[in-house]
Amino acid sequence: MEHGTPTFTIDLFGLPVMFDLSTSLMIIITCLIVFFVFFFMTRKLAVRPTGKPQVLMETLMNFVKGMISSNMAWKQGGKFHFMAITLIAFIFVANILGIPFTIILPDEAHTLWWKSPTADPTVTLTLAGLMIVLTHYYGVQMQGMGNYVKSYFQPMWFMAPIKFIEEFTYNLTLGLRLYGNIYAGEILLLLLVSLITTGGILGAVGGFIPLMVWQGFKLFISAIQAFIFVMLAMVYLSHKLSDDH
Amino acid sequence: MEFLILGNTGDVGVAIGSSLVLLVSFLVLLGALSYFVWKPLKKVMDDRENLIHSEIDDAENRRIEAQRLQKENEELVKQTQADISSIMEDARAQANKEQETIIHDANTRANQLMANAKADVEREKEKAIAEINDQVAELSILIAEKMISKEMDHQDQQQLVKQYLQEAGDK
Repeated sequence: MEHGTPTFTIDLFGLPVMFDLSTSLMIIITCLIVFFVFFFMTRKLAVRPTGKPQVLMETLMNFVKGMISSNMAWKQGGKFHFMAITLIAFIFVANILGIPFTIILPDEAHTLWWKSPTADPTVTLTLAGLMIVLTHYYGVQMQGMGNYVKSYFQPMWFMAPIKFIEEFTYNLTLGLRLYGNIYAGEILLLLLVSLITTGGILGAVGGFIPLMVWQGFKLFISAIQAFIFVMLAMVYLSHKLSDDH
Repeated sequence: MEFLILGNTGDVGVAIGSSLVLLVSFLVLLGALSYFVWKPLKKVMDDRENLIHSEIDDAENRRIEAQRLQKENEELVKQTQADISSIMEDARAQANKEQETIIHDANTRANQLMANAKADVEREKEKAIAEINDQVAELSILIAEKMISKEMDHQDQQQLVKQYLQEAGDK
């Protein structure tokens, strides 16, 4: 199950900057899908909703608002509303992009072009890093530099190294949880597909039902992982924002 | 740059470029969605919330106002009824008084008229009695004259007439 990755490297002031082309492409596709779906769903907005799209969008908004409110006061958390809702939409769409099909070129390296962008650890770790950086930024902004530094020594001074390392584990757990779930899901999908295509009659019959079941389950995982990612990001944010923790 | 990366297949390095693509496209997506989707949507939702709040407040105010007006009206009706009954009472008392006055006046006048009439009748009666008395006296004198004239001669009679005329002329 080795697949090649299309790469493209440019030299930026002597540093080689490598682009994973398929991941970059999928990221942009995800962004476009998310944007246009939401854009066309909110063209006919009214104080009295006239169609289902607006109701659906408002439900999503209120859902994310509930997620934020369950972690912090809305007065503090309100400014993360748009970010959280964009994040959950992006991750969910990114997760489900790999479900219906994958595109593997029939060349020597079996170059994989169409996949979930979240099946790439670079993407998930970058997203997680963005969230963690955000928590630190708002931690300093809301508590002030002094309180922010003091919070590392908070319960006991000797716990500072643990708390310091914790910040990196947050990043890793947040990113790798998403990556692991989606990547494993895609691996299993590919295995099931290869069972159907190469396993003869028995493989085709035996693999079809599990493939469908797994696709459905992966849809569920996609939603759950998007939810968990945003929820944990909000939890980390709330840890940094409130000084009573 | 050498990193230990999960899911990587060995000789390829870290796809820093992918991170950059993700960061840029995610931030652009965030900006575009915020501007084109979330802000209008949030505005509509806030508008609705404000509308509902203001409608509820309005309804509450109207209810209080209606209650106040009702109380006011009830008081007004009560007061008006009291006014009416007092006016009626006054009018009735006034009417009674006037009635009594009128009856009293009429009685007085009637009594006076009766008294006058009685006095008149009395006076007439006395007058008539006096007249009758006079006439009776005259008649008696006449009768007496008749009876006397048979014994008086013409000369005496003439003298007597003259005497009377003179007496009448003196008067």
